Amino acid sequence: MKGRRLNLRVGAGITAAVVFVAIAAPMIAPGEGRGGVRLESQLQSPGAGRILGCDENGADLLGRIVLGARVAVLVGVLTVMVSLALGTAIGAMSGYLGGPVDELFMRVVDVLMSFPGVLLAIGIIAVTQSPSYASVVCALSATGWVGYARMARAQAQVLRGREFVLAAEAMGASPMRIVAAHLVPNMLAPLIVQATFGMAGAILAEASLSFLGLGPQDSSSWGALLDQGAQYLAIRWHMAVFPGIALFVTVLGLNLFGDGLRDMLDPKTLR
Amino acid sequence: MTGFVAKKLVLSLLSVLGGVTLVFLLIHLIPGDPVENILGEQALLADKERLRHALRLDQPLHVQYGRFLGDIAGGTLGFSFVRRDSSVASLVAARFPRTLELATLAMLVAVALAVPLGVAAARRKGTAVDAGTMAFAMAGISLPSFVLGPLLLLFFCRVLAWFPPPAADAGFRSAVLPAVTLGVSMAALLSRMTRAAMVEALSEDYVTTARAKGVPERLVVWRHAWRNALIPVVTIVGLQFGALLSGAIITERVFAWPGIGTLLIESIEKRDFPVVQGCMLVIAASYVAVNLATDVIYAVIDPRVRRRDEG
Repeated sequence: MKGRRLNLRVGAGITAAVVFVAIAAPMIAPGEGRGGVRLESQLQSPGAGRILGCDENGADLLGRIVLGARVAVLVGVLTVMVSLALGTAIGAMSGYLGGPVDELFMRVVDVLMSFPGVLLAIGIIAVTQSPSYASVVCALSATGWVGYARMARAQAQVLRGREFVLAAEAMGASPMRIVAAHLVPNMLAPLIVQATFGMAGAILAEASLSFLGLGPQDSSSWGALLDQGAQYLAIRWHMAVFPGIALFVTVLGLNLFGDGLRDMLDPKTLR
Repeated sequence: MTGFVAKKLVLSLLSVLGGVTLVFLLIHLIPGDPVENILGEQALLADKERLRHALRLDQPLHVQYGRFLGDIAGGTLGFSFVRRDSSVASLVAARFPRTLELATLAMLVAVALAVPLGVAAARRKGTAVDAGTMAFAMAGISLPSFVLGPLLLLFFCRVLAWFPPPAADAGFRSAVLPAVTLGVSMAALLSRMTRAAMVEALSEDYVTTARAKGVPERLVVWRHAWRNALIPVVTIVGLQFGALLSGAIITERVFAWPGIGTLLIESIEKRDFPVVQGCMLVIAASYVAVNLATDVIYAVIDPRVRRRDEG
């Protein structure tokens, strides 16, 4: 019980810290910012003044990691917002209406689920000319909504037989209104827990795409920094280690937060 | 049983066909001209037209789609834009076994790590062993392969020099680090599932009975509880094996492993769309096939599943 609450607190603390860094990034990032190549500090190892060292262009690595928090939080939040809104609407509607609409929904889900992990996102990015933040968010949301939709569908199937729904139907409420005003507010708790894990997943997925060179171009994404770090692994260790720690801590924080939140909202899982 | 398998098979084929169509539409409808990508914007108009014709990109969409399906049915999967005399199928066939090898090794690593950990955690629920295992699981889930991989390379390859650097073909020794990298995240998930399944199995009456009869604890755990915990664990292993095939894309990149993931990323960089299409198709189809196989095995082990799905 105590340990569970600890998860929630530590997770919430880490998440809040990362979000703060992301918002304040331009003010607190050390170094001269990006742009241009500084030969004198290229690939500089960690030391006085540059505690995490410098990257291949001589930019302060700590500064780039701080800016990277922006990319992670921005893509994470946008992806979750788009996926959550789209998934909840489609899933709840499909679960409530049932019949052919639901059948169609299930087939679409089957098709999307036949691409494991980030494969479909990779495919979508592959055909865009130069990936932007928007295309990365679209690519991740294209598969991201399915999880929320399945959850919302299952909830809607349970809720649609309940008295308050039948009462609303009897009073002539339209399906749209029933879903929006009666079903969705009653399924928010599990969806919010799911969104916390979803955010961790979206941040990992963005970093994966950037690591593969398919992320937003010219960004400080932790994945892009790790890709750079991996290329210099034979001569420099710091570039492959520090962005990885940032990514690991952020994702761990969100996962702990989600775990704690789930236990708080659903006391049954405590034992 | 036959009806169950047939229904699952038809649904799987439909979803692969849908996936194939989706990939085709993606590549053909999203703005951007592959011809320009290959030749560059400065190329002569006549050259562009010639290439466009050679690649059949000047034909109407439905004709291209028909030919695309024909290529799949014919087993060639089309021809590479860049290496024009190679069929996509031959390129994929050269790389896919390596990915399969990596995924299989990773799965062995995962099972070898997760089963003892999960069982130990369940037997000593609430102790430090349990907490430690769950902390490992939480960390493993949050540690992507492109973070773990470079760290392992740094330590075991650069500092200790136990293993060869990436891309050096040293047989089995080259495979160890990639397999561990890919296997750890699955081990994390699997140890959680194993623990949960074992906790449940150990609380069953037949376990209490066995203990009351004086059966040695080792036999109670492995012969009575573990056999029953195995069903959900096998399912997760199956489903995760499919996911490993896509997870391999990133691990392959870290270790310069010549699998289908590397081929996919190379082809994206070269804008070789038929190969991109082929790689996605093969990965998706094998993922669906593994899931189908898992479903069927599950139904064989546990008849309740079969009845529910038939009804």
